[in-house]
Amino acid sequence: MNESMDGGWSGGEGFRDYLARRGVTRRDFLSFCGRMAVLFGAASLPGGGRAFAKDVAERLSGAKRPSVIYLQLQECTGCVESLLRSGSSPVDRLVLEQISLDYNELLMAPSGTAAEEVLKEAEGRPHLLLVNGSVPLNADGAYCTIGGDSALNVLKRAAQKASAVIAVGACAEYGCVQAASPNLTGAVGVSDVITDRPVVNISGCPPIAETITATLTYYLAYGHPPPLDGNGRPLFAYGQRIHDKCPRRASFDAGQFADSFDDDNARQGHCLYRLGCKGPATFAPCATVEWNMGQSFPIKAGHPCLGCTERHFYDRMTPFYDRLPGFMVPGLGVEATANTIGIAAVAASVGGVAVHSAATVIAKKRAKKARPETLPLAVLGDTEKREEQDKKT
Amino acid sequence: MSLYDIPESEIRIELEDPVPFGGKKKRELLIAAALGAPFGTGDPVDLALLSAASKKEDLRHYEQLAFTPLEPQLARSVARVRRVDSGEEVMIARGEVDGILYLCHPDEATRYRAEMQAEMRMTHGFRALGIGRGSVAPDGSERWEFLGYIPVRATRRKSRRIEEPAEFRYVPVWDWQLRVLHWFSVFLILILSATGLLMGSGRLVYGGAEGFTNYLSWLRLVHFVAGWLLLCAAILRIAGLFLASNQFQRWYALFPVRMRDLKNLVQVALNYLFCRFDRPPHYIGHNPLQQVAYTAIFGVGLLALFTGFALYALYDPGNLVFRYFVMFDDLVGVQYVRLVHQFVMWIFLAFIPIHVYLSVRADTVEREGALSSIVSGGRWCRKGTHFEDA
Repeated sequence: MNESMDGGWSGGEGFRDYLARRGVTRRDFLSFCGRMAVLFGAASLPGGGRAFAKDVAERLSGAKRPSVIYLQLQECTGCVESLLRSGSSPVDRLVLEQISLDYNELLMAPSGTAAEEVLKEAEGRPHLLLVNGSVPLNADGAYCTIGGDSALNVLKRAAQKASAVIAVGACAEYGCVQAASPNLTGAVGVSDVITDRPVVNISGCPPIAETITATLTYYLAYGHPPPLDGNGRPLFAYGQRIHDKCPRRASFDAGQFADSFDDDNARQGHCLYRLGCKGPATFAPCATVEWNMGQSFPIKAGHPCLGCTERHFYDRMTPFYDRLPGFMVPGLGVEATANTIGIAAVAASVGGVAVHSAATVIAKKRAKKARPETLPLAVLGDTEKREEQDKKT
Repeated sequence: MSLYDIPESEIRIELEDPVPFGGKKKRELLIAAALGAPFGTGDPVDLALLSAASKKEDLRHYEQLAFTPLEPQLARSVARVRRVDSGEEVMIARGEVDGILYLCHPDEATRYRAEMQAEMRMTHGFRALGIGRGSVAPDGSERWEFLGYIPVRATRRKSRRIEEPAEFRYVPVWDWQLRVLHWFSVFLILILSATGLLMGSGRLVYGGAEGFTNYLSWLRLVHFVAGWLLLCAAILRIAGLFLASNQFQRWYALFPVRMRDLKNLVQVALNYLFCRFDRPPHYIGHNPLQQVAYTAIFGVGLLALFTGFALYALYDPGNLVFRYFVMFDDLVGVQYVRLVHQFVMWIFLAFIPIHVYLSVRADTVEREGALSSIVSGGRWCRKGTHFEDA
């Protein structure tokens, strides 16, 4: 976006000075920092949230306006839509408005050659790189081209001088829906392409807006990414499961489950575990931060969690409305649950035991009844020859 | 004896009750039949008769003076025997009933009855060994009387090891530590399966719990505690594989190692498959099939522990140890870890009936004492049995 002349955040100005000029009170600013501190999970840190909020406020006050390139590759623009709804306070908006968003396909005014030139210019300066969408590798990248070049090349060029790379959304993390089996376009995430530096993954399909702004805030304040988990996700948001903070957790603990949508238990707001809720396996801040300015989130609204912040959730969290994946029974082509197969196995085992014990009883009786092979008796004058003759006749 | 081309140990001689005629006693008939055997005989029937008769009377009171072997034409053998103390001499003839009757000329009724019975009653391979007793008058003429017959059967011995009386010795097999671990694990696995089933389905709980009862929390607590305890049991058992002094519990008892054991593996599997009884091979510890099966179940148990802790780890993904389990979850997908964990339970539940059945069977049908050994620690082993792993 072009710099606005009417008091935009100019390059040399501190963030705090800028806010003051824009009429944001110190109180508003500190409460924003306090909320961010809560988001970062600072309450558990030594010194508590208050100290952390102060720290954030001090650092943020001195932050310089960064240049940001926000690429949109193979994706649905849902993540940017989510980001645009990060409007819970004026400060959030300012962070978004006043980063120098130099290039973004959805929001920028220029198009065509003009847009390309803006990108080329921004790439040459140190900048922050945000990426939406996956990078299709099959067919030489033909599945997603921007300005006549493949998404792979666009990303690689933009990342060259980037001071940090933030992958926003499940597509940018690992490919999401388009990377689900059989992954026809060969979609991969940003971290599969940019391998020479850490990539922050803001997971989700889409991620909650506040996790995006919070990560940006952290970066602006500290100049480095927040602590990450094994999948490169910021721990402040993805450190705990939805299950751990779920408003329906009490129902789970009590063993009260909705059996179908719209049954009595569902109306009473009981746990959606049996409707396939993946909250117990999903690391996301949905239950604490919630969506759209803290309005609600799927489980609160009565829909089980699909696990969209977990990698390959289209392959691994499906079926979305069942507790566990099914088995394809070989030969029959029927999908069965582990319990069906397990009960069949136990029945087969008990049946096998019954058959085998019956066979044992029969074999024993037979062995008793069986006429043993009679041998010739020397005392009665039998000889082997005579025995053989007997057999012949 | 050249008559049999099978080893003597496989010949089984059965004598039925002697059938005396002419008011004679069974005992008299049996002793006469034994005295009719050639001196130093090796014939199994002779040996059986001698053994049976020697229980009735001391045969050292007699000595054999002469023996005419059986001739095909006459179909009888004749022995001359003298009683040592009294000097009384008798002749004993043995052979087919017909031949003996011909020799003895009994009255028509006896003859008819003896012939009838010898023919009609001799079923199932039994044959009548006729016995006649004769004395020599001073004038040289012989007087013969028909004593009766003894039903005899020679068969090939089927392996009826368990039916035969034998002496037993008590062999200690399993240490008390191992038995405690076994039953402790059984208890834990049952607890884990029950709580796991309830937690996974929620079906039994559903509808039963009115209000907030913390029912599922208790189930989870029990499940987790039992899981930790099972981990302890597994660690102790694995340590025992290397520390136990008992050879049947050490690591090399996990697999069939020797070539012979591999062959026996097939043999044991066939025995089980075709319901054969007490065939070799015999093992004091686990036989090769048991070794393979139990080692596989150990593996399944470790898989249950591993997947269980991988799921448990989700509650604290930053933990020093659990972070590696979480990495495993990310690799496979949590839902599939769950699936494997649930399926492992079903493997256990399917294993238990077979395991219990085969143990009970080993105790009752094969008399191998597998079941009692896991309770008392030892087995009663038949003396003289060849054990592959003794």
